[in-house]
Amino acid sequence: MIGLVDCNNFFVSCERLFNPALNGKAVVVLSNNDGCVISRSNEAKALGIPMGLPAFKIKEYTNPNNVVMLSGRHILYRDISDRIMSLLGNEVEQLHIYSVDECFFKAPYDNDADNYDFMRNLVEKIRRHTGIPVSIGIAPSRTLAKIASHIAKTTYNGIGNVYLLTNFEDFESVLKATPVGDVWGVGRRLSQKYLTCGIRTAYDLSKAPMSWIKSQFSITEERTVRELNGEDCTRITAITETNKSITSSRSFGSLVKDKKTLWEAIAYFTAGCAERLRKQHSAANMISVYIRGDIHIETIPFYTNSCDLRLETPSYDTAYLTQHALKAFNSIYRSGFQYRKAGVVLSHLVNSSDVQLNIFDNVDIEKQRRLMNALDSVNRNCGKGTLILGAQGLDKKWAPRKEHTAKKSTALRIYSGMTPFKSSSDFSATSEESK
Amino acid sequence: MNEKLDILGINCEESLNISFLDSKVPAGFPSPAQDSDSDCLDLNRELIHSPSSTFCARVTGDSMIDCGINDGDLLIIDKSLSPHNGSIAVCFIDGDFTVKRLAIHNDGIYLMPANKSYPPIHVSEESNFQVWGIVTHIIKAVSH
Repeated sequence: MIGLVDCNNFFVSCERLFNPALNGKAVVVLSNNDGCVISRSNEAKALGIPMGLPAFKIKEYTNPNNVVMLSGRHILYRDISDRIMSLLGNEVEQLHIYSVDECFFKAPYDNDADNYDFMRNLVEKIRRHTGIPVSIGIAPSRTLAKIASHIAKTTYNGIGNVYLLTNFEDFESVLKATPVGDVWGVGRRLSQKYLTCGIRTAYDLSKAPMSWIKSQFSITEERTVRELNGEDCTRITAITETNKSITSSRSFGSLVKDKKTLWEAIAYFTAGCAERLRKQHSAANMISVYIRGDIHIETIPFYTNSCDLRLETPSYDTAYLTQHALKAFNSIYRSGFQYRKAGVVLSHLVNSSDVQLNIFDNVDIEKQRRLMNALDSVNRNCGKGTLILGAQGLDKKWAPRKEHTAKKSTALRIYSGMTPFKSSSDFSATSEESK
Repeated sequence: MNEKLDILGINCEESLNISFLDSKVPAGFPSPAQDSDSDCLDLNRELIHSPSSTFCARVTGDSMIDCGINDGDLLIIDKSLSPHNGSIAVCFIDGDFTVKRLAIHNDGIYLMPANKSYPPIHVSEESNFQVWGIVTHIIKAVSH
């Protein structure tokens, strides 16, 4: 079973955390330059204010004095998001961070009763620790988990809620109540197309003949239909896309205990992946990090976990990828264990020339490209590892023994704030300086 | 309210190791048997037990001076701890943050200042009240 944690009205909830006076009021958070609505409190939703509404149009819905409008503070939201993801990583396995406020994971139990109790405690724990209300949906597939979390959210009681969509008998009524446009992955254009074919609800879509779907649509739509029928297609995704991924992993020479050494290894793997990525002119949409103990040593407790992190913008920039690897790593790292192996996987690759900029991003893509070209050219001409990110460290305490060679190169470090000591906010400031 | 609190997140990824002088060890005679790790104290580990729920705030005001909280001090706050009678807590009451000692009586909750010039605050049923977090440490600069 797959679980999905979804933060309720995330940006508004973060604002309310630091200003509880906003509780009970209609609150919206606005995008960059106060352009349009990107997060709404339940009170704002009740006024009929839609997502994406330009700020100046709010007066058409209500007296603007009744709505508190706030400019987004994304560094703050990211900090709260990191706290929630690391709480999750301490409780569940196989994290898949889909966005700043959503994370899929593997449900820990085989039966509904245990999962329900566990999830209720998790909702309460996240609220107690971070002050953010979350909803959790549990279902056999991601698409259904998304629907389940939505149901949990609409029955939101101010604390957060849990909904299990695990009985096949419940599917029909739930799917019939879900408009096809609300199904995960069905955009506006696709839902128009479905509507003209008479498919109005998620239930209609789940009953569409597979042969027809296959002939009319792509593999993505086929997967959606399978998932609506309770089939978990996560693994199928993994298989079809293995040829489109880059992996770097290593078993360590000795068991690694401290977080810093483990992180340096992951930063090293990330840099290796990124270099190969640039060599083949690709950019990655997803970064995955896994860490693993040693199952053969019975005297020490074993722990393994992994985290996939979907990137907001596809990237081939070592610094950007390292920053996200750090977020994934922090989510799953647990102290008190010893680690034998770690790895980094870059996947969902696209051609680097096809990279589309996220409109909310302030990345200077040309500058980034020149910096990476310079990095690769120094390493090509002066030897591998001449120029590295500070995060990788110099002593490679984790390295396999055979890698200890007599010749020791003098490596220069770019101090770009990529040590685990800096928050992402510091990162952007310092990386500018180093460039 | 008598003080203003700006609540901030904490970046605690770093290990902030500083040499640790154990008062039980006579100065000048460090035990050779000690391994090097125990000579260091990680300030973050010392002050932050639950990174995901720890925040800090700087104090403005003098209502808590008798329990050692002065203007300009930094408070370390853990949101995950349960409030008890006698806890020093960051509370939100009627639109403002305040730091006070909790006194939980049969007739309700009182927010007790630690300064004779301030009266206790009774939390009435109409109050918009929330215990935001529990103060675990006070960091103060010593003037010299």
